[in-house]
Amino acid sequence: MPIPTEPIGSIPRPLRLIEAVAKVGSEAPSLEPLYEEAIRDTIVRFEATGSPVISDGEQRKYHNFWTYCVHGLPNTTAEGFAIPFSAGHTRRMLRLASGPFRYRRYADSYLEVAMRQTQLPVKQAVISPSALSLMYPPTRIPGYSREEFIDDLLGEHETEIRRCLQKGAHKVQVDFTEGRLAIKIDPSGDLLNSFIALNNLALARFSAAERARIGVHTCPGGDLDSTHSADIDYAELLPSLFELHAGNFYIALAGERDPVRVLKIIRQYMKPNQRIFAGVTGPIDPRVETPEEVRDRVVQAAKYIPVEQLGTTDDCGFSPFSDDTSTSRDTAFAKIRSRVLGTALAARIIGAE
Amino acid sequence: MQGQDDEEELLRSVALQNAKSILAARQRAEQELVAAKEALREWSEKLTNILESITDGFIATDKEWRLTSPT
Repeated sequence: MPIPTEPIGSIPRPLRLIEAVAKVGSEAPSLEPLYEEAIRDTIVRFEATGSPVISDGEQRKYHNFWTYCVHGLPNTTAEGFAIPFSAGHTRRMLRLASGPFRYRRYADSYLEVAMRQTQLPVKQAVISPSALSLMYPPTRIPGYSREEFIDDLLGEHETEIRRCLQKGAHKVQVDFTEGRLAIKIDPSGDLLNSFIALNNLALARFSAAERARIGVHTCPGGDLDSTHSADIDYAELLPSLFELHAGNFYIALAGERDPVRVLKIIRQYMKPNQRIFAGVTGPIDPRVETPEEVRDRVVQAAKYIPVEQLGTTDDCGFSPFSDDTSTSRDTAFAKIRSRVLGTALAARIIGAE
Repeated sequence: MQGQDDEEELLRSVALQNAKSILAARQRAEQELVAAKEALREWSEKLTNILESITDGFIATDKEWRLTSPT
């Protein structure tokens, strides 16, 4: 049984597409040929890396992995919270102005386009309920309580996952990049625990077989080659993270200062029915890892994670925000190729072929 | 810097208000689960009573006519 390897999701958009979107907005009909070309090129290049599982590179997710499902809703405003990154910039989220809360689009619409263009398994990333829960404003929305919002949010998230599963997603990955951020905002851990509780309420709506196809991704954020919460110790996140009732965990590891320490924490808290996809390439590191470097990271991870529960991934998407040009498409695919080759090299050493 | 601190405080406030709603949602889900288990138990009890009270022979099969009860 080979070691499974999967991407996180995003690939930098072609510059032509980014420039065109900047000029005419993300939904202009004139962009269709550019979106189609971007998706087609992404899939062809993904297949060429040898990656056994691919994505559409989130070419149509606008403006980012967090707000794609609500972007353009008439009952939202642009005055949501700003997330500060270590490079000194911020990214501002959307705010709900009135109820009811509904998604404008579900991610299965991206999935089905990608699946039509490849024979390979396609995975789909979706945003977590906990991330979107921050859209409700500090003061009560008249006629639409916070409780109603939470109920609607859970319903929309469940619908999105079900649609992806029904259309045949290889995995549905819930992006939970706000895990470490939660500890940064509230060091008591109460906020993280409420995020875990909310996401578990959503996961509880699925059967064990469905949860085996659902995963959770955590990383310290990635944008313009910087992070929002890398200064937060994984030791504060991981024990709670593994309380999530998901079958797969995609954990950024390559960018960690002391990966062995993190692996020891993973070993201590992971559960028998959970597969750990360890990050073996760093999207915010401009240098392309060699397959041999990746191999060594996988072999190291296998010392702490049972091989039958081990997988590999990238630490993060390569451009979670659609206008991020800090990493080129060439670099992204070169790193993916190294992940695939390095994982296969490690499998030979570990005896997991 | 002050602006960022204010923003973080506001974010914390929203998140902690949400936490109360999440707790309420969790309690509702737990109550629904308890109610569903109770309904299942009652139905199972009713079914057992019916089966135990009939004097005729009884077997149950699935759609493929495979015997499912008694097993």
